[in-house]
Amino acid sequence: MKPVAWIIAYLARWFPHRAPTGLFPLGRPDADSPVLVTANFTLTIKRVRKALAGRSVWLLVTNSEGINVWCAAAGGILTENRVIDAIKVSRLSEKVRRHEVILPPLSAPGVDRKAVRRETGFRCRFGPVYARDIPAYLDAGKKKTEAMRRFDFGWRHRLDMFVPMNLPIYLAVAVVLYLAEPALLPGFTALFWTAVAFLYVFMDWIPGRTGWGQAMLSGLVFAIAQAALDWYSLGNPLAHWGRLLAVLIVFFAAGFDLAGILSPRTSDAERLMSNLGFRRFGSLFVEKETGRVALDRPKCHGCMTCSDICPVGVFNGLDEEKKMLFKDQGACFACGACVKQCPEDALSLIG
Amino acid sequence: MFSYVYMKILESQPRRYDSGINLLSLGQSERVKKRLVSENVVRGSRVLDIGCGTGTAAVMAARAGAKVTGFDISAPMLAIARDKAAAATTADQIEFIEMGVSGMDRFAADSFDLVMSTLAFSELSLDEQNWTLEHAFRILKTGGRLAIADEARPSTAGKRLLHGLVRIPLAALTFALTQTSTRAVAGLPRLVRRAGFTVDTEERSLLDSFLYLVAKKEATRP
Repeated sequence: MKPVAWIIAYLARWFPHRAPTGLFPLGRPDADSPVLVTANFTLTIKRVRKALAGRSVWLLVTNSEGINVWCAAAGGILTENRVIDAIKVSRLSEKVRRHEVILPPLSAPGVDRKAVRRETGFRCRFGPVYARDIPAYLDAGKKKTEAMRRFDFGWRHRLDMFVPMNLPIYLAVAVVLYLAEPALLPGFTALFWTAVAFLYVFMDWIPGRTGWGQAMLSGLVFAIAQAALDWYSLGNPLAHWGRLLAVLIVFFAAGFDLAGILSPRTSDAERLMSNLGFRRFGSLFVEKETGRVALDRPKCHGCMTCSDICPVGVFNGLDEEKKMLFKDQGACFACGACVKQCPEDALSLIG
Repeated sequence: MFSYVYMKILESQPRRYDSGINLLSLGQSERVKKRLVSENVVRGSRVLDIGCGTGTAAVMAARAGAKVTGFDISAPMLAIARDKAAAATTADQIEFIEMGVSGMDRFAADSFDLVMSTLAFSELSLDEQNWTLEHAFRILKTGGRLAIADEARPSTAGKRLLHGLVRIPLAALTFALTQTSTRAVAGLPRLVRRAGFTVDTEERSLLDSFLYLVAKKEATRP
């Protein structure tokens, strides 16, 4: 991929970006090389290829309509049917001896592994969440460490999301300002990116249950500080009332779905849409069950699949009766992966 | 002017898909399906609908007296298709299967009189299109037809530009609403010929952006 195309794809990551599908040899794979499955989102493929540089593996790219693994799986696009299509259309069974593919665990909310097995004879195994961990995972004999199972909501993720997630919002306002009142553009630019940076850096310490609430609180603090300053120096707290309003509006906009993008919490945007009566909004949002995971104990056979694929580590091994234990049930944000994958239908989302 | 872009918006709302797509395409979606069915479906024939979606064309074909099999990769769309077939009392004439194109290998060779597809090929990637055409050829009887109506890529740069200008606002809206990209089929007639078919009809709309294609399987491949 050319650098310019890659920068555009990165900045436009709100939008789907399709890559060719099919089976691609990386390095010089043979009939015994592992097969790694991924989505046909350009950025995803670029990262997977980079992580696997110097390795000989097969890369099986499914048709997820140009959407990344997690969004496509949770949005009902990356389903077992896509994996079945990719395996059969690429005639994978003629290329490899071992009938096994390694799925990204973030595809777990969408892919029924039993159906893949039934239709293709291929067994599905879940690899590490991040492509960068694949080499270590393969070297360890397809064994994962706990860290490889988790989605990392830390600084690396925030840095990755900072520009692409906020640029469209910034541009939408900036273009209008540029046409209507260009003199306000520098001020808006400074305010917008300061607000976003503040929220991205201090999110873990700002009080509030929802991301939107945290953003509004921050906006209020900034606005009050400005008013206090104006009161002290100009004798009138509302001397810059336009600025106060701008601060509140910018934080209001920048905080929208802060929780959904940056943290393992239910998305504010999804909740709002759901309350507004939307059943579905493109692939951005699909109405799904919310709440927390719950276990129907008698049904559990202790296979530990749930614990293998939970991206936030809700589960914690087995009790003396070989039933799953919860480590932190409250950490569940209803991604639906374990519910979909439990072979005994012992898990559900409630309340 | 028909645009497939509308469809992507509506696809995200399966329940409103049909009324919405017809309203926005000014009835063109329904018209092209009607035309495809009336010109190609023969009473008593066996028809396969690739990517049947909400089943509009499949139900039309069943009403025209064909025995129809429709498949689609999307379970929510098929649920509507089944309701529609039941409402049209053609349910016993139609079988719906949830699967992707790779499932076409389950159909016996020389078993269909018509393989049809409306607005589904543009959803497939190139390798999937080739697989689909290869199996369409295999499962058709000799003399059987392949009929496709889909959005196409205009053949000249000028038309592409004009079409692009019309399409940009719609595409932007679709992106904003559905986060789904749309793609037109490029060079489909060439792929159809390469799969062994003889192309009988190849019609393009005013701006060259819509393709109506009918091809025949004249003989089994040597």
